[in-house]
Amino acid sequence: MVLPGFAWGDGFSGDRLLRVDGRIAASPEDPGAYWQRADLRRETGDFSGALEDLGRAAELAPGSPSTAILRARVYLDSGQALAALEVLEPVARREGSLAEVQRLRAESLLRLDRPGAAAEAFSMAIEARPGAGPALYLARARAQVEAGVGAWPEALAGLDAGIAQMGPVPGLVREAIEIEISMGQIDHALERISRASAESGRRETWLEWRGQILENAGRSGEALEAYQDAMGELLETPSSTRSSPAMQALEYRLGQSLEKLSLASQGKGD
Amino acid sequence: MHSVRVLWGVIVSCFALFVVSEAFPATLVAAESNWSYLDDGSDAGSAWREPGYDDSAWASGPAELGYGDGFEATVVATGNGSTRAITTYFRHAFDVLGASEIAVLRLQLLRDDGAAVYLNGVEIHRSNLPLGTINSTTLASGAVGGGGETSFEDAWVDSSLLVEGSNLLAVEIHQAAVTSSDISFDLALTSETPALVRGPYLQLVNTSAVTLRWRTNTAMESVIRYGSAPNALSSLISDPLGKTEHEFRIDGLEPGTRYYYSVGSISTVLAGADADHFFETAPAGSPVRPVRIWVLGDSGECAVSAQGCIDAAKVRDVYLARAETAKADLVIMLGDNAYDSGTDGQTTKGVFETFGAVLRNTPVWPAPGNHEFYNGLTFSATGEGPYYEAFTLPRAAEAGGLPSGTEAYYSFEYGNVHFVSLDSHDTDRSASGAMYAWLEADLQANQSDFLIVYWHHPPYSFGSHSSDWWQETRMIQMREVFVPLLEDYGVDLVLTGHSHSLERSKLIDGHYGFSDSLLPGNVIDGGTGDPATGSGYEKDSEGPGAHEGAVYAVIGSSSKNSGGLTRHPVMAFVSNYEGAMLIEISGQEMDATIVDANGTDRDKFRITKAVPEPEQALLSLAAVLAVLLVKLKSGRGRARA
Repeated sequence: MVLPGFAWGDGFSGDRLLRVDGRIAASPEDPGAYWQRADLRRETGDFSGALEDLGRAAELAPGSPSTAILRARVYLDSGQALAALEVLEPVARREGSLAEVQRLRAESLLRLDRPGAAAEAFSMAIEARPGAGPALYLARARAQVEAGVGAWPEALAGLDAGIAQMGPVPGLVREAIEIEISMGQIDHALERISRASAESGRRETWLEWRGQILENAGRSGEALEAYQDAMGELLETPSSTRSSPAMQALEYRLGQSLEKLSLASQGKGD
Repeated sequence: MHSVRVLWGVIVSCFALFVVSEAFPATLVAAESNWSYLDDGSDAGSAWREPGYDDSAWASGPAELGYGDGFEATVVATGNGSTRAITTYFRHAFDVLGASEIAVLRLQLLRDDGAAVYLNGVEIHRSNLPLGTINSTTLASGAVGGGGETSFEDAWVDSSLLVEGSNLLAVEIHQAAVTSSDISFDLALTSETPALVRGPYLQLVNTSAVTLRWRTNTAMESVIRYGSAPNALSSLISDPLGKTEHEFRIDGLEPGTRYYYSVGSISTVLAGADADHFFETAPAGSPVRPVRIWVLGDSGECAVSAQGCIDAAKVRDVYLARAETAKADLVIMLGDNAYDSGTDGQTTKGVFETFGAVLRNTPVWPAPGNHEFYNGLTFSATGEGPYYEAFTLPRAAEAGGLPSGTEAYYSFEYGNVHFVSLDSHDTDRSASGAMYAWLEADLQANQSDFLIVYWHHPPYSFGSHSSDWWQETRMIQMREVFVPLLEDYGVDLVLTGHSHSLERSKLIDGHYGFSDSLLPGNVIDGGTGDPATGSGYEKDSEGPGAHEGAVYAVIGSSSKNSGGLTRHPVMAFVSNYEGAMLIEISGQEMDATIVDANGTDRDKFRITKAVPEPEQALLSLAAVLAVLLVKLKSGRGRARA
């Protein structure tokens, strides 16, 4: 795929617009200059101006995927997901291996409340670029969760495929645990937490999560144990580490949970 | 990485002969040659590309061929009037003797606007035209103007298509628009010997491994030799598979050790086997010598302007002079590494040609800027584009940190420093995004003494981009979403570019709004931080300590400056010179110097972390011993007296 180069200038948007205006004046038949101005106008909320530029770019470079990608972004930013989809569909049929086209299709479908179709489009983007990174896997899983309970096992399988591809990327691991919990598969969730905790240099937040899951499942004894482990891990970290707001909040929460469960175990709970 | 044959302990005889490659170009088709052409606007189909096609009815003339610019040697018609035909066809036959001995063909093409080139009927190069089937109505992907109308672009093409005797080049030139006012065409074809196009350059160094990459002008086998001295390259890695992109992971190395290397083929050394080509593994544990980092931002202007080349070369040469006594261990590039749109060619020129003398012995860890994404082909979510193809970056914690699963953002350890590189342009910058989730977990796990984080869009700047300007959403989002998280986990230094200036903050914390929201309490230490005046910044924690203050620097003028700089109230130093930053970390002290392109130190600051308790105990013990020694000496003195 050979797409023309965009060439944004630098400086404030006003200055950048002036520079692009100059570029268009110097090369009025260069579609790249219109793409550049269209994207700048999109970023500043001038959607009609952006579409006008893209119209001119389309005349100069008919059939270019760049025009379609930029037009879809304008439509998405201006709340016209259907128009974005209509722009992308023919390009997706023609340039199916361009992952960004599929990703934008998926974004459009999500906004049109068609999460199942969006998940399929994300899958096509992943297929085009299997080593792309966690963002596509995460977006697909979230679309599948939105599609309904029936698609949740697929969401988990998709996240596991991402983890197999990329390793225990935190965003994917956490999403998988959330889905396991939503599905009521508590032991599976705990198993994932154990794995993540073992691979992590800092275990206390994982152990707290383990405690919360167990507590919510009514397994107070195990929960108490998990909270104790978490507190033990936290107290072993250097004082500078414990001084962060996040760790101070964790210490407070763990203290509360331990007190509550200890009292309950002694029959003094309220 | 391709599979490789790793042959450990191969002792290369000291009598082995290396043939160092030299270029002996031979012209097969000269520029300004005579070409037959079809300019009547008809569709020539595909037969015209073949050697046997009868073009006797076509017109002919010397290059440059075209119209509309006024300096054509041959003016072609291609339809007159305001509307021109889109495509013009050209053919040129030439003879070759010894075709099988030619390893590399270099094509130099002048085209306005788009072109497809065929050798003996096979397409060998396409420029500024869409992928897929093209015909006489296919428009070029973009208009060519300015210097692009008169400059030749380089391409390295498959020499195996040459045949002994008569050969044929066929070229079709396409307009970007039916109303375009000009076309231009010329071409030269030369045979050359194998040579480097990029590199060699180093990536992904850790305590026991390094990745070595280079690109050649022709597909060839890959051979790396390495060892303890330039003349003792006793280990060898090779891959017989012919390719132009060569990438190898060398592992099983000793920590903190220098290895010399060469790259090439079994019979040819393309580079190395000298004092300038070496790699050094990261030190294990606390380093015994300082860790040094050279920081460049917006350094890619050479890819598009002669002045940019001059300025970037000055910045580079100032560093190289200092490197003779204080060589950097790492190079950090803060984005906009290749203007104007981060194409493959611009990346070659802006990164690898400009800074090749450094990158052959110092691993580079880049962040993407905004210009990396302006080629319409580069997307972080999908990992596509010339930026992602040029660099091999951590995805699976290959050099420490946590796996990010993407090269768009990553972390690594070197010595007692944890480094984090973020993508501020094309990755979700929200707190619900994958980058944020990964960063939080990565920072939680960090236990290094120092934390240095870098990305492109500065949270604080009044340079050519203002962090107070509501449309600078990326600058604002990084400040509002990521800076609080980083300060929670004790960041020491944040490096950015984007504004083409040099700016460096005081030791600050908790300032997440526009500049008018800065409170006195946000400034932890409002001094210059310059140790020479006794006002270095001090932090209480020995490792990452939350909200003890951080320094924010903009190093965005390593190949140009844009003027218009005013001082953001958090800044201790601002300047409009071209320059870069040198960082030296020795134990619990980090010293940073902003050096301009003339070699003048413009700014210095120091951050000192608390000394670890065991070291404090040792120091205390040393102090007690010193006191005892003094007492003993003085007692002896008295006795003598």
